[in-house]
Amino acid sequence: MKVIKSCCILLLIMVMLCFTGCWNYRELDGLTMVSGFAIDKGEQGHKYHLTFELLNLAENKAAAEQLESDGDTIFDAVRNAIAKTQKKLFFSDCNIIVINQDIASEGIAPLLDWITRDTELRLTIKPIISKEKTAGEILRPKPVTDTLQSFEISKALQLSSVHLSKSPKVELYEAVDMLGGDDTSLILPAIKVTESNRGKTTELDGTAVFKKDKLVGYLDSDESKFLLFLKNQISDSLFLTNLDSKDKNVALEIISSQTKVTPVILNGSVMMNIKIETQAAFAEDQTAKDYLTEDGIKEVEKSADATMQAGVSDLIKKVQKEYKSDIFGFGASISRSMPDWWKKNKSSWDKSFPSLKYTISVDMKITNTATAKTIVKVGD
Amino acid sequence: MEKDETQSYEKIIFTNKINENIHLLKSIFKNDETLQFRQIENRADPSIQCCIVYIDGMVNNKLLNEDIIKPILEYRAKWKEHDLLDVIAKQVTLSDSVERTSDTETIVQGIVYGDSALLVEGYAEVLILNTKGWASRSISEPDNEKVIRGPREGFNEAIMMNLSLLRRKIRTPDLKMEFQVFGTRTKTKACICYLDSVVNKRVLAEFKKRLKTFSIDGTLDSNYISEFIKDSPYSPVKTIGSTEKPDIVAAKLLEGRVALFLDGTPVVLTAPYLFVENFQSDEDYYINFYFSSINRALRMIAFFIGTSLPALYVSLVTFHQELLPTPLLMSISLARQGVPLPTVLEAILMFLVFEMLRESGARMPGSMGQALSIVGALVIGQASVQAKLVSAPMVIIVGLTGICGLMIPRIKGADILIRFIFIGLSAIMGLYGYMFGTLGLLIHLFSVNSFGIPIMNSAYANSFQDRKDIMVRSPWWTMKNRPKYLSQNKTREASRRSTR
Repeated sequence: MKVIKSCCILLLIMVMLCFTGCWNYRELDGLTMVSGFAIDKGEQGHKYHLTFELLNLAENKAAAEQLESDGDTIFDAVRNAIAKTQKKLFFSDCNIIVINQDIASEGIAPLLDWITRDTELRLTIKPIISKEKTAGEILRPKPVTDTLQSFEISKALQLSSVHLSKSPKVELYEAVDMLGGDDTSLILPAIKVTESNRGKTTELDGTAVFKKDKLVGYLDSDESKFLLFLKNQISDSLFLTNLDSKDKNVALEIISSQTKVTPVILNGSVMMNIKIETQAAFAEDQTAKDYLTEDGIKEVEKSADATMQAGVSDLIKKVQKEYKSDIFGFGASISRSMPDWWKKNKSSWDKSFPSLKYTISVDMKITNTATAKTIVKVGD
Repeated sequence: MEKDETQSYEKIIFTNKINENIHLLKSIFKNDETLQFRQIENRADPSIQCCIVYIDGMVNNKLLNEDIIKPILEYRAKWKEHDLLDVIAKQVTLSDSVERTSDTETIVQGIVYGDSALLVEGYAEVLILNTKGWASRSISEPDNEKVIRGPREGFNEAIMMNLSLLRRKIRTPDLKMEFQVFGTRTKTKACICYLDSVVNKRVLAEFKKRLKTFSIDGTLDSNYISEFIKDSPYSPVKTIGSTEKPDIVAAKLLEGRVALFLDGTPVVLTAPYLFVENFQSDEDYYINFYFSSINRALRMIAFFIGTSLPALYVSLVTFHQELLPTPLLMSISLARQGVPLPTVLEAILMFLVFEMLRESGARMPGSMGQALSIVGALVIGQASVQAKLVSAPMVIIVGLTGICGLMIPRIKGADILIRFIFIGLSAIMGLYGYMFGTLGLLIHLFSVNSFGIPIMNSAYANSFQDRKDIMVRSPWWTMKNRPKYLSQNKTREASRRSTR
């Protein structure tokens, strides 16, 4: 009896060993960490040309290394890379995917399939559209403060989404959500290479706009900021406005910002009410006049309201006219608050979006003036 | 078959002729040249012929000379009408314990235990006089139970001295001490101690019952007995406690436990032994409760690190690289470049080296400590990393784990065993294997009892009184009850008495 019992327990334990899912014994030495990769059109008859940025640990220090590889699919190209390196590529710490704009304008969905499907790649990986001729160029410049270019771009995206807000930060799962949904169109950050004192450097440059899965155009940095205001993704960036001048000469530091988009039915057609409420600090004043009085502050607020109003309105007009793609998520807010209307009209949303009406109300409040009580005065 | 040869003296019967009796004793102690026969005659009445038999080195010679030989030599009173042996026992010798017997076994046991046998011409009976006096170690602080604050005395190898140390701490007739003899050949004296009104009677009965279940020729340390009577003898965790300090024994008795003293060893057994006792130190109760709670938490963390850290490292580095933060992954893979061994072998090898260092530290003569630390730190630590034989993170892991293991000496053996099992499981199945091991360990811990008390009884504590002395050491005034299940006499009366 005891033997049977212990046999049963042993059997149970052995069965449990099979429930482990996906695992494998891999030594660290047999892996080489990929920090990011770029997807370009293929050469030599292959469809894709991939450029990997690898962590090179030879000579006892961490350094960046580029490896190129071709293949008919993305995974094919990844596996083909083994022939060029003695180690297996390891993607768990891969932070960015740079996508060539030509490929993107042909459709981005096939590229993302393996990336979302594979177990090693994370869903928080950040896809970026390269404005350069090839995406591989983005990974080539020497990073400014990091060892690896990909990590630097990834961190820059992360930080800019909080403090700069001139490009959106989109992670893979968000991109896939936007791509799959019919109420918001995909946007991705765009990147370019610039010349600077230290040679070539990469720089985040606005937003890439998609219709379905095809790249249709770009928004510049300023437009991107208004886009982020509209998408309620602003946290701690600057907002510039102009007082008594055509140039922007006052900087406000945003403390918090809340955007509410509510659809209303007006005369049978839907209209968007956009309400932007922003608290900001008076952060920099380039004018000669001291605005730090009650009236002065009101004047600044008024000017900021106007700038915002104009900027948002221009942006919506441009997107409606040029791209005809609902990147603001207006469809999503309709489907949330008026699901019945949305169900009926979502098939024609593509057509009705370019002529969508909207109202914008901006409420900019200046809550503090940092540590200064007056402007820097110039003596007589 | 062997028994007959040595135990045959039981059949010997003493006669009333002193020379014959001496001859008999000589035949019992054949080839034993430490046995001394000292024949004496009374100066006033030479017909009083005696012989003192004792073992050289076991007796206090000064006591023997002045309190036994001298009075017999100089005795001058009339005795003819009385029984001479009785007179000697009552009026002559100055010994504190005199036993009159004709039982050969008793006589032989008395002689080998340091008593003197007084043979008197004309009597078949013998007087056993207490003349025990052998050298014993002085009372010192035990090396493995050091405290910074609190009593420092420790037991030595003499049972009566040990019992006196305990008696000095608990001055009540409630403290019971029952003697028993273990070892068919060594005849080692042992003493069961308990507080009659506090002890759990069922535990005591079980304890006494188990002590009768085995027989062995010698018990040189209390572990001989411990392994016979403990629950789950194959388990790596202890189910019977041991200590060398009277204050610890006293505290355990006050909580309702039973203690077993054994002659010839300073290590006293206490039972039942709960798992949490591995993490308790006597000093916890002598210092500020905040500080002792921190120390206790550290010991529990040390147990976790000591058993799990290398297993977690192995599974993270060989199975779940994606769980490592990127900078850590970079530095670990950088450190592992060019290391010839796989991580698991590296871990096992380094732990073998560490355990060797530990064991040699415990065994080697104290004067060589310097050499060991140089070899350990420089040769094995630094040089092997520089030579790329092992990776630097592994040295850190092994060092940390080793230190943590040494922090909880009461569970050291189990710690090492569990650590190796966990490493093995992690090497085969990664974190899944580690979880397998952890669950197995927990199931095992919860199934082990110590004399009828579950050793994890504190884990399912549901009132403050059950929890007060587990993760933290609560202040003394809150310790109102004895630990769960340990005593039927629950109340400890540690509440504050009103001063009015």
